[in-house]
Amino acid sequence: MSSTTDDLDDIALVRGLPEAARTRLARALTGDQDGRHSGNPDLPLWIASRALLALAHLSPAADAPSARDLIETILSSTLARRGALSDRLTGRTAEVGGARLRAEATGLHLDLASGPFSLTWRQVTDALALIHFLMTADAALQWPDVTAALAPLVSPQAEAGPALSAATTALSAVRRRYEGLHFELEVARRRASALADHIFAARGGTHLEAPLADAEILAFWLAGLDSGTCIQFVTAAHHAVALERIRAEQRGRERLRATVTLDDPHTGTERARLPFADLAGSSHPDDASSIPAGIDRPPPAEDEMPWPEDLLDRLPEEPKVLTGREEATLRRLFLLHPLQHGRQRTVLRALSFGKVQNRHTARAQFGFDAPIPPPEPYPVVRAEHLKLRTGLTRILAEAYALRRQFAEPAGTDADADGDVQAPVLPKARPLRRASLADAPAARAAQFATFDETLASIAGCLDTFLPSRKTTPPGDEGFAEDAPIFLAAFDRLYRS
Amino acid sequence: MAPQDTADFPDAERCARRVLTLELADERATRPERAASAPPPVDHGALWRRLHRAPADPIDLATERALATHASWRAAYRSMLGTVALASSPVAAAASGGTGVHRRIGDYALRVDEATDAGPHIVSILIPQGVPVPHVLEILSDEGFAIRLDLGAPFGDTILLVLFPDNPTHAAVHAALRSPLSGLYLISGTTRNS
Repeated sequence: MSSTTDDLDDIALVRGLPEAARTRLARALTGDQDGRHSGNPDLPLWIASRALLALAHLSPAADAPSARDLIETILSSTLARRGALSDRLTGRTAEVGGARLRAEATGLHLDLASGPFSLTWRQVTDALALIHFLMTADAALQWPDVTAALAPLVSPQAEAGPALSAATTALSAVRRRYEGLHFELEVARRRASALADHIFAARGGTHLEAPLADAEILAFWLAGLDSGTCIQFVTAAHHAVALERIRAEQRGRERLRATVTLDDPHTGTERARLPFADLAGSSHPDDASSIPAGIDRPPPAEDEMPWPEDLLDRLPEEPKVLTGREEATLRRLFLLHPLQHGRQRTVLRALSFGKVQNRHTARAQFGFDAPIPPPEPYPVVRAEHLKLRTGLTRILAEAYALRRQFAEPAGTDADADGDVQAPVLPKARPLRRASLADAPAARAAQFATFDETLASIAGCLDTFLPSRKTTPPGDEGFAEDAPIFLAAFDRLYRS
Repeated sequence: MAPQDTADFPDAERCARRVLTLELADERATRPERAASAPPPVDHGALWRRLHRAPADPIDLATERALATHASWRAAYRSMLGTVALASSPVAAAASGGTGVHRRIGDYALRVDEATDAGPHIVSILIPQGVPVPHVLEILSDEGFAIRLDLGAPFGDTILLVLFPDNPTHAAVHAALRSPLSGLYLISGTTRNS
């Protein structure tokens, strides 16, 4: 059986997936839906069955939909490219089993008996990649099951609703089986509760709701070394991230509940005693989290406050405004959210020593024979982030200048305070990126599609940078940490 | 530690899923770049097109070469063939004795009568009553090549193929049929033109 990372790499290579799409595929596989919304790990399959129904019936190749054409569409690396599906299908319509299907430049639209439903082309290509993965992972072990699951979608007589249900249920069984073979959810769960146990013991059973401290995360990692569960420091930090985020979500949910059941304190306490109610199956009727993760539950509305790393996914793939390196640096940083609030030291430890440990692991596991670099002192790590922030400021300044020049009609208020911003345009050197248009007007239009997201990213990056209120650990902090980590690495990787 | 000790730890399942995603990312971060000598990733789309190739369609040489060279491509192709085929026989069930070769492929029986003197080898596929007539025989040799034979219309309940020993293609087919390790797959009218 091949490893998931290998199979993911292969699919990404064959389909030409960018890093962000690969991450989305990994999340669809692990069932890791956006934390605050939905505990339904089958949501991507729910979307995929709709996308496939539309693709099967809108395909220009055949008058009647055929499983063969649908599979060819799923596996095609040319259609996986951005814009290919849109070019091929835009303007086509079809009607099937009480559903009207329509392809537009923006995506697919389905008028189902249960209501209208729209998919962007990115969601469609993501769905195709997911089905491609499920079909072909482990040397196409699950090929027969997936092709069988697609059968109801290509049947011309079937009612759309039941066909979609049947396909989603069958695909969900396939995904669950893959999960059973590859992801030992139990292991992940055990590790997550190991962290909870650690906090419980370290705090003597009190103050359990207090946020994790730098020292606790380090102690958890070092304790792992002692007990032989050797993990990367970055992974330990990510455990802490998962815990913090889920807690934040839980707090938010409880606050919502508190406003609803203010006049019923009894129910409130009962719920507080049942944190695992939805896992154990003994659910409280009112508990929002205990609604079973139904397969036919519609996807949640677009979230207003995404996790920082999801912001990066919202940037368009084209034009590419961040370089691959910038995006990778930001992603590495944002995956540590919310540790930057009061746990700056863990962030710096993960970035500085994490990189060194990566090399050690690569050498130990793969015989990768590169020299191991010394850890970067904390000020160096910070300097990189500051540089990144400066770059973002420059891009945003240019976007703003272009917007003022092209988007706002002349003679409005914009002219009145124009003097204040006037120096921005000449100062902002135009950004050099291959996929950005040269003509200022076209460039302004391109910027308009993502400058809000970019501003949020810059804002988020700011939370990672030192402010006046905090005194970040600098060289002296690094000097304290270095012996601890280097001794640990020496112990772990000495051969 | 007893579960109630982790009672402050909500929704372990969801946390575990996020941990899994982050671990997949961490695992990727520690991997060295793909070596240049590593086999190319399997292009299932190309294999799928090959599987449905009509007799007149052009042959994709890159796919043929990859199929001949890389075991991973062959394994994937074998799984795909297995789902499409009317009947399959991945390996011979028992060593065949005597001069001829007998293979059961599902309900069908394949038999190779060896050439005598300068005559040709005769391959016959017996089609029992009430089962569909196959149109294509695909042979997946253990040496790494895949041969696709278009079968003609049956003669009564038998499809006959004639292989001449002095024709190199026929000789290769004959050798592959003789090997107990070759997989045999009978496919029904999967070509668009049929």
